Amino acid sequence: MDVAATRAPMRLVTGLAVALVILAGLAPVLPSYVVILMTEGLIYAIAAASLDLLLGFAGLASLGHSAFFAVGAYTTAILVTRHQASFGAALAASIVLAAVASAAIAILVLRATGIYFMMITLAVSLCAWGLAYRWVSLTGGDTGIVGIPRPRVPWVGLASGTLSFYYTVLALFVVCLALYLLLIWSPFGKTLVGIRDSESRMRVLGYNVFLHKAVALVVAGAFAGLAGSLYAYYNGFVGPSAVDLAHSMQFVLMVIVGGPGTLVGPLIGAFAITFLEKMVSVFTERWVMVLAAAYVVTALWAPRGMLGLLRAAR
Amino acid sequence: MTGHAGDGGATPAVQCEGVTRWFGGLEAVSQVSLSLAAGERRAIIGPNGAGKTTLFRLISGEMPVTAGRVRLFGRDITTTPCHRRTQLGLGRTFQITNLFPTLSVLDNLVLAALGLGRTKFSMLRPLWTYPEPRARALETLDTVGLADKRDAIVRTLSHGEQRQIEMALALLTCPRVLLLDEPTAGLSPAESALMTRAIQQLDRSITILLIEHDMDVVFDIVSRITVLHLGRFFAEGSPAEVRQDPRVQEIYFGAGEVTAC
Repeated sequence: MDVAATRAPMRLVTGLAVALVILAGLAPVLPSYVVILMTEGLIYAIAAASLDLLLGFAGLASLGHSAFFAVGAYTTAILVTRHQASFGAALAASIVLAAVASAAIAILVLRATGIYFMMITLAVSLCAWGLAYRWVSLTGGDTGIVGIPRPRVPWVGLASGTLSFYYTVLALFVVCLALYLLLIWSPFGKTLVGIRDSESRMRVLGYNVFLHKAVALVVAGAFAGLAGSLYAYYNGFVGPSAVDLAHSMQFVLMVIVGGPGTLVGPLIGAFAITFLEKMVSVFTERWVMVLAAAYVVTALWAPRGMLGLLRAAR
Repeated sequence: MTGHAGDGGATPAVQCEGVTRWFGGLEAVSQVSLSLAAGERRAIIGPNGAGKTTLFRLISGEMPVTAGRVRLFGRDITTTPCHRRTQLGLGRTFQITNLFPTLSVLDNLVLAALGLGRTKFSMLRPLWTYPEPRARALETLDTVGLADKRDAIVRTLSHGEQRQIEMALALLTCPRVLLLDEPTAGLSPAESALMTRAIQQLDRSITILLIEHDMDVVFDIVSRITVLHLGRFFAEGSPAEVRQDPRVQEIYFGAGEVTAC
């Protein structure tokens, strides 16, 4: 056991624990619309962090991540509204189906690398949108699926209130965060960074690069599916807008604005963009323009994201 | 004896039979046959574009052959993927330094130490709780004399230090056959001499195939040289024979008659 190597991770855990205590403690005293936004921020943080595993750690710039988010969202919507599935069953099914979809897509998209990988994942995103829009019998088409009730949570009961639902999401967020941390510290997590830095070197070191990338896609897809499931409960409605390109790009921006390859950065990015969107939307409908501007500013002046900027300032 | 009769009765460590590689209309490697006895140290030389590095990539499996067969200790590995060949004992260094630039020196070596085991798939336990890969990495770090640089980010190291890590990574995969692609590329004469000594001192059981332009380095390390020219086998012999071969001098320096075409 290497004691020195645990210092930085312990600092990170301490910081995150403090942040979580603040997130949990502030909620009862904040106005409910802020708590609603925080709930959304947490859901997107789970999704953005899962994309960071691909984009920041493994160097796989996927533009199709909303497809797996949507698999989770639609699975939950369909199971809950048509089959009265329980919270646990809907979550589990969303995670499993998103992982399976991710595995199938992985075989296809991992034939390409670099800019071609981006293009083919972009195509995946568009196909997923097409399916959501056109497969009316399953997805409800443009109308989507409405009337998803809030979940009935073990020990809590019906999480219908703003606060009870917020704490449910927060609890799942903590579980995800712990798993993310273990993953990025694990040998497997290190191999993803190795693949990002040099695939050819990894191969001659004896790594099956394809397999590691595929596993990363499946794991990230599973987490995105979980986030999608929570989104369905949160929003009460799932439609093609959950799958569209803007949504996929939003995940990418959360990672890039926050700081790719840092895990914490995308969590901050998810909160920042969620809050920014709602605040800007009060003043103008041209939210996407503001989002694009945020991206341009990041690309020009903070290429390593907000976290990179903070680190440079220190 | 296990293998069937080869040059010296034992199974060759590496055997290429009519290995060929086309890039579109260009035949980069053409019908190259080559056999290395176990423990042999051989150099491949040839002018730029002779197909030396391409031949390495065909042997290591980074690139599929268009035709021909590659054997490792008698086993046909022609269609074996690159990472499997590493597990079978084939190691390789790169001419253009190919490391993990954003990771620390220690992490570079730990990744190399993880390559052959099952630990690399572990997802739910931090890397620092595994003592074995770390111990092996530290040991190798000592051998190459970079122990004091273990926490430095590789990108910030000098070229010479990076070349040493290049070699260290290959050694951590426990190769029985080592392909060295210009290990002294870009090194100062002093650094080059150190690298040469390090290669000389490698375990004699490791079969070495070396691409090198510096003839002094070649003389110090190998007992035989194969010359490639325009992707084809051109000559083979002891270093002294090859050095004195007027045809070899001709392809390197263009001495003698001007080829008409």
